Amino acid sequence: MARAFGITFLGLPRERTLASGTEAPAAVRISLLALAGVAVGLGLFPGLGVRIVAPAVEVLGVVPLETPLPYALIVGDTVLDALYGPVAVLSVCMVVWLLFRVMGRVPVRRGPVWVCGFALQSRMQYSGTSAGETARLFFRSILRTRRVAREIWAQAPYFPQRLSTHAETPHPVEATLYAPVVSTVLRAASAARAIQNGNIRVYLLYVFATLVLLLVGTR
Amino acid sequence: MTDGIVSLLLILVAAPFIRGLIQKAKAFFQMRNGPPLLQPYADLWKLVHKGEVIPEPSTFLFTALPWVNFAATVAATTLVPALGVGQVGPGDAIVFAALLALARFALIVAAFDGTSNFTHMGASREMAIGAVIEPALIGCLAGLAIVGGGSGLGAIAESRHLAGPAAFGPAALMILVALILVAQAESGRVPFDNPDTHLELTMVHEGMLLEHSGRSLALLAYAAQIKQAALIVLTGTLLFPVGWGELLPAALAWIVRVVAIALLFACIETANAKLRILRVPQLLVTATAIAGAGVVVGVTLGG
Repeated sequence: MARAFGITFLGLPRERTLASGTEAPAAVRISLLALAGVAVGLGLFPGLGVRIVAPAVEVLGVVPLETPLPYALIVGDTVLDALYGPVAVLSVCMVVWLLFRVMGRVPVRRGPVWVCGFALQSRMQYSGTSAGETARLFFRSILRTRRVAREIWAQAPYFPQRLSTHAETPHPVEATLYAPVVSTVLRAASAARAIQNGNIRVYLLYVFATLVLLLVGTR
Repeated sequence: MTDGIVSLLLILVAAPFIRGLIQKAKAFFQMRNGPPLLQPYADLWKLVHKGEVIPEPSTFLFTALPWVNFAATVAATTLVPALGVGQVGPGDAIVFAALLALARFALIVAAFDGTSNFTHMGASREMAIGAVIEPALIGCLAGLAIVGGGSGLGAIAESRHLAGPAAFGPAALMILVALILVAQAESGRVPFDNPDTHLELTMVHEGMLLEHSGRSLALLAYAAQIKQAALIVLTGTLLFPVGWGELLPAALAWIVRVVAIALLFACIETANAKLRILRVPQLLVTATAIAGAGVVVGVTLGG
């Protein structure tokens, strides 16, 4: 989540075309904000969401969880028990704010970013792939990413003329679990299509054959 | 509750000292003088009074998220029992782990907002390490909760206290060994990360802080110290559940535990080089496996 947010919204634009991006119209933002608000609300008061689905769950014969507070899922007696995390975080922030107020203001200014004396360029920024690279290396024995690097050398092995890499992470669950099921179903379906070929004369033949079978059967 | 507040204040006040103590002990083993014991306090004092420089491309999150990081860390600390079983907050081990995860999230996003390639690199590494630490931490705490009964950290500590010598059964010992590894990893010590260096090949946590300055940096640095202190105190309380009841013996036991674990950390740091970053998950997965084995032993054999 940190990666998705950080790469999308923070740092310099990763590609040149993105630099000219403009803010979306208000209607788009409002609908996204509303969804975000619902997500936060359900996070703070999960009991409300449970209440909405409770009747459906009762039909299935499951008794919903009883809690002393209707809007919380945590078994506690007070509002503080249910909302401890946010309350604690906010109150610590208040205390720090008061402390800093007492200590007085300090000057805050904007300054350039330190990149070892070079000018900051957008190609120095981590992209989604590079930010996830450490994690991919950590789990490389599970992920089994295949990568192919294609190099065209001006003078091997120090001066590449062109470099291109291609990486692909297979999905083992998909390949070993879903794929056989899907291919079996598809094969059965294509076999069924041989019968169901859309030719009206063949369909008339089916009707005739069924009629004959029925007549033979009733006799 | 009073116990809990005293414990919390103790951790908040002693956090920089514990950092200084580890540094001093390391310096001693390396035949150096090292910085004074109280140097971390002076550093924080200096940072709080310094002006702040914000990178030009950053957003408001850059200065807002250090607060979230600090506040979430302190909120997690309120759940740590230190003197006896008292804890301030009404949360259990899961809330503790979740608040630490929130602090980590805030830190990583702030690092992405730092816009420097160093902060991004630190963020990338922290995400990867976090993905391995968090299961290990939850595994340890859940294991102790299953073995001891009760999911609150205070309840776990109490059950271990009441168990007496039985608190050191094979299951609990295995989980505690794993917990020491997790405490080291979470507080960014060698062999997982080196808090004393800004060399880009090795840094994780320090890399993320590189663009922060002034009060933001003070908050982030203090939060790291508090997290380390809280984990040391938690490990100590669960490892040696003794000396509770009266305030004086409790405080004495607290000091002995914290100093002992800080010295243990210093010894481990002196004896080991920092791991290559790709080897970090192996050690942490080992910790998770030890904790998991401890849980299996605890459930099947008891204790």
